[in-house]
Amino acid sequence: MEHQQLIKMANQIAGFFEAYPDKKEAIDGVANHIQKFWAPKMRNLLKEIIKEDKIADINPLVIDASKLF
Amino acid sequence: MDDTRDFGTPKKDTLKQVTLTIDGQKVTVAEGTSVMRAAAEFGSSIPKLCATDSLEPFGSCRLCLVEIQGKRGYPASCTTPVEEGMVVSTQTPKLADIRKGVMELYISDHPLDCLTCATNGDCELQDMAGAVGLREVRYGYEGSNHLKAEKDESNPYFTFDPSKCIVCSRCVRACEETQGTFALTIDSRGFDSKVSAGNKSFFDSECVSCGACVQACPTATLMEKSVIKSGVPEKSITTTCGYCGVGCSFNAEMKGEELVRMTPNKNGGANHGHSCVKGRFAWGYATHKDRITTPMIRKSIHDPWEEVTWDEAINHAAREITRIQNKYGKESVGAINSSRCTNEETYLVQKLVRACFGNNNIDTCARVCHSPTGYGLKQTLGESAGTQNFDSVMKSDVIMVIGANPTDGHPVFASRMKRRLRQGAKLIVVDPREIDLVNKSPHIKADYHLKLKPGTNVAIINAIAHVIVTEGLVDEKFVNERCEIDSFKKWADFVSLEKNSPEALQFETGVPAETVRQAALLFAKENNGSIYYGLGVTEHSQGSTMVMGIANLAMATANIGREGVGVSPLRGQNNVQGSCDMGSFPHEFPGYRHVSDNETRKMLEESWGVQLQSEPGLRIPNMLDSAIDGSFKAVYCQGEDIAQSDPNTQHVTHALESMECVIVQDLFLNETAMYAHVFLPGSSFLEKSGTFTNAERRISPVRRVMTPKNGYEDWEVTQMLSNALGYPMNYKHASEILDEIAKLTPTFKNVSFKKLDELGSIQWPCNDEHPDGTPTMHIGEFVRGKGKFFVTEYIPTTEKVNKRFPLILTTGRILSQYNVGAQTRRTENSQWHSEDLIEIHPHDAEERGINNGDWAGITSRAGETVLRCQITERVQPGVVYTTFHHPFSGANVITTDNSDWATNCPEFKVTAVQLTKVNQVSSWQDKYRSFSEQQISFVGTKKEKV
Repeated sequence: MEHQQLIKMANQIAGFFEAYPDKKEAIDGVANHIQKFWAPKMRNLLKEIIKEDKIADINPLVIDASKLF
Repeated sequence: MDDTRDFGTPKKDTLKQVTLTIDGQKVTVAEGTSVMRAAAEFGSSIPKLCATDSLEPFGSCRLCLVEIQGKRGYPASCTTPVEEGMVVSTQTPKLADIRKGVMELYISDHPLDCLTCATNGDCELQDMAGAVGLREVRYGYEGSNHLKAEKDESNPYFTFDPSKCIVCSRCVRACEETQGTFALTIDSRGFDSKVSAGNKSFFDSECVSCGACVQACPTATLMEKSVIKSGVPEKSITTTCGYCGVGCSFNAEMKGEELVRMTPNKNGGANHGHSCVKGRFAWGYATHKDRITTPMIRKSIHDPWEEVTWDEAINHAAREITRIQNKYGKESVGAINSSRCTNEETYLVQKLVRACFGNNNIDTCARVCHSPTGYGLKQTLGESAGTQNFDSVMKSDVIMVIGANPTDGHPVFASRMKRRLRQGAKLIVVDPREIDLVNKSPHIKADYHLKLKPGTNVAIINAIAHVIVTEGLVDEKFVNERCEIDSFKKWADFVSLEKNSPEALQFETGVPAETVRQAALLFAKENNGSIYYGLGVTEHSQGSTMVMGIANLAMATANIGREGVGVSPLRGQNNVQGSCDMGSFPHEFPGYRHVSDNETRKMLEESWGVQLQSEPGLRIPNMLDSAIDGSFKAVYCQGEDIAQSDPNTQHVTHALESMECVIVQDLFLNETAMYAHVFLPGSSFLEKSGTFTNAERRISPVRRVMTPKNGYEDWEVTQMLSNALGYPMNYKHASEILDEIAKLTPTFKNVSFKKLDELGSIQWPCNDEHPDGTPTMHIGEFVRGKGKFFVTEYIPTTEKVNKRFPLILTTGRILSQYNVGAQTRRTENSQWHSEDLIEIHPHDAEERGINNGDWAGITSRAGETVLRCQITERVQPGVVYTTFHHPFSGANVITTDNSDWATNCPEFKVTAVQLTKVNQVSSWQDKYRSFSEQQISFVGTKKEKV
């Protein structure tokens, strides 16, 4: 699975939850969504990308959320 | 009461009762009932010709006259309402004399060819001649008559023979009242009166071939060609249409195993005796010569197919799946099921994946249409389904249609909606294109058409909400009692922001602020406001956000939880709702219970006897991406054609080519089957038993009316595959699968074949609390308890226009064709739509030197195709539009990988493109043509077998 595609999907999710003024609610929203709807393989790959610090294009909400899934 | 009888005039639903005497018998009926119907309800048949209970009474045939004590003359019983104490005689010597005289006049200008007439034995005129005791006709044929009037055979499905017409106007009234098209009229007066399709042939007229006129005709004037060819059917079996999400009930009228005609069932809960050109007439594909009925296998997609026995094919498929799982792991295989299949079939495919494959890699075609509906409505209201039944629209005061084209996509429901609109309900259309409802349906004009730019739905719904909140039009009592207050406050604060005002968003949406304001005020101020939406809502990068925005609006205005209101997704295919209900998504078990739900998983594990995965599996796009990266190697695809229906065709076909085993189960060698290694022949909806669930959550029976041409119903094929893989399934009939679904799914608890036979259809939830089903949801309380508002920030799509791609392409469908066209292209419906066209505004066409009918190359960031142009002001400048019914069109060659943030539903509705005039097809089309010709040649002699 292409990294860029995965990052794009994660950023889109973050885009929706970003509208919530409470940052914790937004982070939880992103984490819950990815946990509920993404196959483990995709979640792990995203975490790997973040772990390898390839985070320039990743919404900060996704990075925070990745600690919760 | 036998509801299949014709009671002459429509039923009245008033509670007030009236008692009268008919032929010495005291009868009590609803106020407003006609004398004709009152008599019929108590078993007395008054002769009639111009009356039928699907139409308002007309009083023209003079056959139904009666005598009423105290009233002068002989009133027509069809147009005379009952009165308290009325004393009616329906059979007297005088009435007999009058009726006989009337019939004599009719017959004097009617061919006496009963023995050779196609409707012999099924003709109301013939019946009435018998009923009135007509024994002679004193008037000869010497005078003027209509016996040599020319037949109109232009319509591919029915004939119009004016020599047999008695000018009762039933056809004209059916076209007006039932269908709402007003294509027919009575031309001239007196003896010269004749039914006319606007002085054109039926084919060239406004007629939409719904069949309402044919159904209403009491003679052989309007007659199905199939009956003329095969004769009057000898038996009838009630089943459910296999086309759109309206789910019309039909009577399959048979001669032995031959289907002679499909007639709409007047007791059908979804359609009440109405139909469209697809369900009524376009069933010939089921016996088309292209059907493949013998299983086939091959090593490579570059090899010819080898016809094999069912055992060989199933065992080969099972060996391949086992080999691949052993080599690449349990997660390397999956399945895609289809909304064209029954609940029982989709249930079984997901069970095969979860229990036998041992993973959750199951997805369904709803991924590419209504998955955002499932997500958005579950989040806000608590259930992934529409809130109403179709009849609810008759109590709406204002109807908002968003991103749907009901007259083309859901024509039978559209007819009911149009009826309500003609009664005076207001209409708001939110659509980039001028759909027929805006101004092209007779006697209907939208009060407001919010002609937005594609991709700006969420901006519009926020702007409407902004007006409602800032103008103080929120129903605070409803919100306080029924909704989560915190979520409401957050939403209300958000939509009140200036950035969400119609004025701030009008440049983005292209809709003048004042129009948005007026539409919002109209929606909020009318008593009952209902919202109907389609794929123009869901197939966007913010599809789920928009569904939630719609639910927010309905909750804020208290338009949920009673008749006449609600949020109603118009589902595309016949069983979209059902396939989703059956657990066809990778994250959900049947009944929308998440795979991580321990209690549900434990219950299923106990029933299925295996351990199940608690993590979500791959969605279709994830499967395709994984196929390309080499980790997903085999797919079992039942009844779905992802190579045509899914976006970015070249990406899809690349993924299919990357797999080691593609198993396709279908009626035809569809586009996906051209990339398959195993072909398992499918059975049509006429050849199987089961259930479909329509857009109203209505579970309707599908009944086998003929033997499967391939030898097996589709669920039996899945069962054979499962058994070959070592996971035993031993269902003997589809009813046993439904029983298992009911046992394991709380919303289906009381559903069974037996109950469906008793009730005709059932809207889920059907359980102890709602033993006969639930027409309206969320009465008193939302399924999730309190309704939840979501903040719906408008985020423009990343698919932007620029100098290179200055136009936005959006897609839709047409009345005569269905989805990928695999069925309707193999019927006479192609006479109305033989190719997909691209609609372009005159200004855009002129800029490009394009004339009507020219070929245009359409280029996007994903690919290029060529279509013929239709210049029309239906589309706005800057927007082009096409359909996707023909594979050669390659509409999805140009759509992109962009998708909804929550569900990955593709953004079919927004693709930036450029159009240029060209003289030849695209290179993709060239390659497609030669590839598909080669693939068809690989099938060999199969075409002779049906």
